[in-house]
Amino acid sequence: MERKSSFAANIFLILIFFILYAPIFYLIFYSFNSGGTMSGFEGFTLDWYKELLHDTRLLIIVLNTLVIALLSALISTVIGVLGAIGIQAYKRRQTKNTLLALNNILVVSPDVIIGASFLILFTMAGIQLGFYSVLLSHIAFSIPIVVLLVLPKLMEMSPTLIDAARDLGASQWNVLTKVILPYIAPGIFAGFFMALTYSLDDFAVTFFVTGNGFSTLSVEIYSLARRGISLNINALSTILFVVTIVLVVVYYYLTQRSGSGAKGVDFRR
Amino acid sequence: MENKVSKNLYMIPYALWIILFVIAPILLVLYYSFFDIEGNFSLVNYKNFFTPVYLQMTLSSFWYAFLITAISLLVAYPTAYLLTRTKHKHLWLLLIIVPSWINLLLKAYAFIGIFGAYGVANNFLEWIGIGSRQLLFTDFSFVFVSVYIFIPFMILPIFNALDNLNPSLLYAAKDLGASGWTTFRRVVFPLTIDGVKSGIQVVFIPALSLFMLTRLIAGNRVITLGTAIEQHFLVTQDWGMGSTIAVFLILIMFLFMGLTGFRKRGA
Amino acid sequence: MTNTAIIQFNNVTKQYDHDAPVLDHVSFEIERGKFYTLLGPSGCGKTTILRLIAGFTEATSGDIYFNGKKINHIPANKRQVNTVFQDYALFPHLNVFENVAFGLRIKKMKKSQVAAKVKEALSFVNLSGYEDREIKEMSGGQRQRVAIARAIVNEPEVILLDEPLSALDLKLRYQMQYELRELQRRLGITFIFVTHDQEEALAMSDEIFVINKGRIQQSGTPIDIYDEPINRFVADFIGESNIAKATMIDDFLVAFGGEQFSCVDQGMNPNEPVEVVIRPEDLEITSFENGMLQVEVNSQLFRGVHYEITGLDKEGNEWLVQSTKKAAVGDKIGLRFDPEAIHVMRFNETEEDFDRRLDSYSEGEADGK
Repeated sequence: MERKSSFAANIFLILIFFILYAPIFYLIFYSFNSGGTMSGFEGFTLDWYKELLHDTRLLIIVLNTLVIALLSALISTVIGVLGAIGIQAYKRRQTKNTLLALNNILVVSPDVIIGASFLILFTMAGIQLGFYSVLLSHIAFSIPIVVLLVLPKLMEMSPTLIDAARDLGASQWNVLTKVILPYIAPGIFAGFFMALTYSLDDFAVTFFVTGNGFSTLSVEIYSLARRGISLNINALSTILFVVTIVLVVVYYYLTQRSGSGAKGVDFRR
Repeated sequence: MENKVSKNLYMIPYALWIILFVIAPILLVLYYSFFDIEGNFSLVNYKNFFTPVYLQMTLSSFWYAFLITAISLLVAYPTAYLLTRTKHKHLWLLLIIVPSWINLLLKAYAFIGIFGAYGVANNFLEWIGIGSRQLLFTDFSFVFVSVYIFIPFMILPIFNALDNLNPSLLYAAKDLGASGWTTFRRVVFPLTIDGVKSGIQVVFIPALSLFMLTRLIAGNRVITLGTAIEQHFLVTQDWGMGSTIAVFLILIMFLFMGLTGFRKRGA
Repeated sequence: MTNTAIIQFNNVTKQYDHDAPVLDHVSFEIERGKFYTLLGPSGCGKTTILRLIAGFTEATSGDIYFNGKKINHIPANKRQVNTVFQDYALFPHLNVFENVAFGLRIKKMKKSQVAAKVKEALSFVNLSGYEDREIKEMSGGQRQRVAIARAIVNEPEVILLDEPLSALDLKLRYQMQYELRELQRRLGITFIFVTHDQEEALAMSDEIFVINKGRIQQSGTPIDIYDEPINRFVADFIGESNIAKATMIDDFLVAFGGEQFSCVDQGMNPNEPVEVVIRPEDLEITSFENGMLQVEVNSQLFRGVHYEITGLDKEGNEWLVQSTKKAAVGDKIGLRFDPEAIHVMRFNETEEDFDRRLDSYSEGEADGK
């Protein structure tokens, strides 16, 4: 009985993993197809990769995407960490809960709503759609994620640590830089990392708030995919897959070291 | 004293963010919903929303979201349960999560190839003797791809809930004479209901508002609330009607959150 | 100047919103170089006193003086006291050396000097060679010592210890009691120790403040407090006690348990209702006929060194006896005790009145001799 059920269980799990990974490896496999379609493998080629590397337009888009991701992650981490410290410092439960509810609105809002409402906001404010509107949007939707990842670290910190630092002569600034920030550092890294992946992965919000001259990778893939199959995209996805795996390994290492296990990965849309 | 001043200093950028990017956008959407396409103040958008065309669209959007959520749950719960019983369960969990880190667009794009007329799915159907058929641009492919995309987000909170379950509770239930199924129904499921709820939260609302998949995979055969909003904002430029639909989507979201209670994902 | 109080509380009250005050008009003085213990049940206000001295909280009213200067509004980081916290509050992101060096680094002391001082402090607490350890690699007792080293390295005039031994197991706790007492003697600085463990307080302190419900009930040396508890709370909280309702017939004569006994207390009104305390170790078991007080045994526990026997007298008072002799439940036995073993307590007597009464009859004794 036991044995049979565990056999069925293994089959089930293998099937799930197969379904989850098949499309990705399907993409990677056909990126080496000289035939030019995603059906019928004709022969091995690296042409699509070569073509990709010579596509300066696409390379600029990749660069844009990275700049937006890094900048938005950096800025949202700073604002988010300060916000989390601020929220934690409020003693009244009611105030804390209200702030947290406001914080979480953008986490639970569908991308379309965020995109559409930001489009109205930027239009009303007279901000031209392009690099800055995309950057601002990415900062905006990353801040609450950072707060949610930093806040548990702050809550887990014993208040006597701050008392102890004060007791040993630390000023308010010393307390922040020598005790609080080092203590919550794992949360800050996780927040930064998550903001980075949110930004890299975002399609819907960027799609709404970007103008004619500016595009990110997701938006570009969308417009390419709407036109049909082009193995350039397969080559690109292979590269992105490798990069993602590297990032996952780095992230896994960071969170394992801070002892929070794989729990940090759970905020993705 | 000193404390209060510095606390308020910390809060300035964050408070600005709340005002500009959380409160203002919602108010602006509400404001825009009261203007018709010519820019005149009117309630015509709300009147339109309650016409059969929009109501039917809302209903079908709900139906698809429900289907996607239900199927995800049916697949995710056993998967999460089996994962908690494996050795190195956190590593396996990470492997479940990894596909969700691949750009959504790329996964959708992969299915264009797989479900295409000469794609591997049709080859398979051919091979088992059913024969090839139109797969892409059907509601089947839309639901399948959506479930594919949402599955990791459903598994994660359920996994965490199951993982946090004190194993001695299971022994206690057995000790008190409960069978495997009774233990599950009376002990395991009630204790992991919070994980299920947060899983439903992270799937249902986004499933209502998908628009990219409806275009790429469903070929506009499925129109969700999200598709309608995108259509009005970016294609027909009728921001008023788009905002009205957005207002309803926001209301549904708040209602849904109120019913299930906001939880951190995975908590 | 060395004889003046280092810390002085003047009518200090601490109250949150409209709740009952945590501290209610508390006044006391702490002298330089002694080991003080604030003793009381949880929630009695003892930790609040510590937090007021450290500067983590401010008094609602009243004045706090340190070396004769009012310090009510001086922030914690500017005060010359250091605290050893109940959970040790060691910084988990710093190793042992950096934890101890924290205060010195804040003062921007020279590197070589920091190294020398940390080394000295660690050797003081027997942790030489542990400099590079991470906090999570240290055991509970070792963390305790790091916390102490981190406090003493700053050479404060007063060290505050907030139930520092409560997280340790029994054996380690006994050992640390000796070490702390020894450390205080060697350093010669004032220790203010907070605990709810009366044994700890009796073993370590020069002076004990017994605190309950935001007020100091009694202060004095361990022996004073054990032998002459001022009221039922103190008698009950410190050590095991037999407390019975009694009547003070006259000077040196008290009635309880249906009998009259001679005692050494005086200065009360004739026939004043009082309470008497007799410690279990002062009661001796004898035959029923020879007993000054006759009781019927209703329970007996074997405690290793002795039996713990309880019995009821004819008025229904329960008497706890520690004895190496055995008895059986239902036995009728007699109890004997010296007049000195009886301690009489008046109802609602303040500490000042109590001291005055004690003084008056120790003078009387002197006159008598």
